[in-house]
Amino acid sequence: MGARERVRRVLAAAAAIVEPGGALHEEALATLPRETGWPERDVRRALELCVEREASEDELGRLLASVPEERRVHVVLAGNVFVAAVRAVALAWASAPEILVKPSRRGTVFPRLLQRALASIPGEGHLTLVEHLDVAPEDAVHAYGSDAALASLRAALPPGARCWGHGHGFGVLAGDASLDLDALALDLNLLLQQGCLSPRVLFLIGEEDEIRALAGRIPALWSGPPPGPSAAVREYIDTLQAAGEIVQGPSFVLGLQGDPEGLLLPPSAGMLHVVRVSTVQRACELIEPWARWVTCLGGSGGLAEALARRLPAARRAAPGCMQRPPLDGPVDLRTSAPVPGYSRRP
Amino acid sequence: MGGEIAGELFDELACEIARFQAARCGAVGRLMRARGVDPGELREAAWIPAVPTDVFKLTRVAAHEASADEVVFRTSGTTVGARGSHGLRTTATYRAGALRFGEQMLVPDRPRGLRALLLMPPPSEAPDSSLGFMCADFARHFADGGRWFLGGGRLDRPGLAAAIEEARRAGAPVLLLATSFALVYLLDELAGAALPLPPGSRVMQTGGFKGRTREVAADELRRSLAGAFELDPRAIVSEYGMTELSSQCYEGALRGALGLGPSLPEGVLVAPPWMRVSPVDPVTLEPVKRGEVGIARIVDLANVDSAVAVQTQDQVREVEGGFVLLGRLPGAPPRGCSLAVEEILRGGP
Repeated sequence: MGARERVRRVLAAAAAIVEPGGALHEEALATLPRETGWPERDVRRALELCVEREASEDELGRLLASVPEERRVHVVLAGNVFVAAVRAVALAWASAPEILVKPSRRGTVFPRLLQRALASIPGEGHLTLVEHLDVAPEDAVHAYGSDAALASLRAALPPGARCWGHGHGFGVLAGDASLDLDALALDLNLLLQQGCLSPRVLFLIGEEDEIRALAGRIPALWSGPPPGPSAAVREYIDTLQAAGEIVQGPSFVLGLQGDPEGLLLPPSAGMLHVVRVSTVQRACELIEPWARWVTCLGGSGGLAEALARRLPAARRAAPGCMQRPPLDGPVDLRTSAPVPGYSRRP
Repeated sequence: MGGEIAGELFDELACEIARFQAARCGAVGRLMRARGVDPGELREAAWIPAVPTDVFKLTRVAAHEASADEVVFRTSGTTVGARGSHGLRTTATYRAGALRFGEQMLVPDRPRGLRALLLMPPPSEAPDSSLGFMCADFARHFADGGRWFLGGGRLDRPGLAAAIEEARRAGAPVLLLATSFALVYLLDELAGAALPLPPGSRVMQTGGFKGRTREVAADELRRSLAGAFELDPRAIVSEYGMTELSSQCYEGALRGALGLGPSLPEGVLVAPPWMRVSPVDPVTLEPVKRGEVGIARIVDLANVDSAVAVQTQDQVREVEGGFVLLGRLPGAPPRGCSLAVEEILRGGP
């Protein structure tokens, strides 16, 4: 069975999980809210809109080209968004005929569902879930998680093993006073701002009054839980109260600043940092120090185009599509560059 | 902690300064409005909303126009992609406070013939460093004008060793003013060898490491320095200050050892009388119970033209005679590969 067929089989299994009325779908809706703490509505929406179950031949070709051929790949999953397991497994099987998947302790439900769905799809290959990594020197590892976790993992691998790590990142949106708020609502609410593509910063170019009016409408778009009380949230709010302004909704905190000296990141989901800029150049200067953590750039228009030139490794996404990238490789293109000893498939 | 100016007078002065700043400094005024604080109703320093240190990186915090700045001190860190800046309309207040308290805590015995040796970039290389500005003043006022041994990113160890030897032959004590990272670098270069300082010498060390060298625990650094310089550990005096403030705190152990102040254990920092350091809960910003750890809320009466109350993220605990510094407040544990600000900040930008 070739790599393309193995990936197609993963997509078929994912389709079985998200099929409305299907047994696996029902089970997912019953169990994922408990595990994730997300309301059923958000689990349902993530299953419907964020789980990859189809890809064009062109996209599949690009996905296959994004990974080298390996004998065996270990996958270390993160626990922040359950839907990420599909792409992670697809990428691993695009690379190697044998894969071993270590789910996060906080996210075992979806990998188990995927394992069972795969078992019912004709074809070769069993999805093996493991609790501990046992990496041989000739193996490869695809790891998703915090930068610190990836550093620890790399240090523990045997010499010769290749590690492809996908660490911290965040999404940035750009636009003007005509920003499509329905699309913004989708970008914010899908995966409840917990993905590495989720928008945390919104650059808006335009007049102060119209940007302030637009910003004032954003907190009402949020349908997730409020940011928890924490020292970091408190510090962010206090800082913006002095350096700009805070617009609070029932469960959302928006910080607004005009042409600041630096860029502050909000520390939690349920928050968005809105920066009004007078010039495209100012936005480019502000994002520059953060560029290596920007995974996705959403939005359209001149400001987005200019930022895209400063963020060549970030995915570009149309408004409303930040959480739904095509299945054409890893979600995080920053790490698609080969690491030493990890050559791309020609 | 600190605030030895009679409580009521301290409160009165702090509130008066806060009212002035609310009217003249945009950041202070906005914070008061957002918190619903009427400056006219302020009665205690503890009521003044404290401006977080990050604000100095995002916007100007000053009660005067930038054109009236005599000097602008800037932070070395760039945690939000910009360096924090603190513009002073006059350095007279800063200088008076730094010299007065620095003298009390570093050279209360007025050692004769003191020679200042400095392990930090000279003001010609770092003209916006408040530390360099202050230490240059110390060298001029407490000692012989001072000599700098860190320039162009290089530590001049032979030059330092020669200056120490020269001082020893002259029977002159040394005041070594240094950043922690420079001292660690020096210790690494010495590789266990001693560099004894003349009798009566003392070391002021300050600042964190900011990834510039290996990190060393405070106790370990003190032991190593005392060993290398052949000094009483109490002669290693830690300074705690920041660009956003105009006043500094020092360990009080040296003063106590000289019999010129209360006997305090090493690590206990003392604030000047015109400064209060209060541990507060990081979420509610309410004062914590005595002995509990909180983040340092600092009221500095010398911060006349910026923010008299500053909120840091440094963890402190109040103890008899002062407070101890316990490092920065850790961030929330990162979850998966989604944004974890604290971890990102540790890596840059």
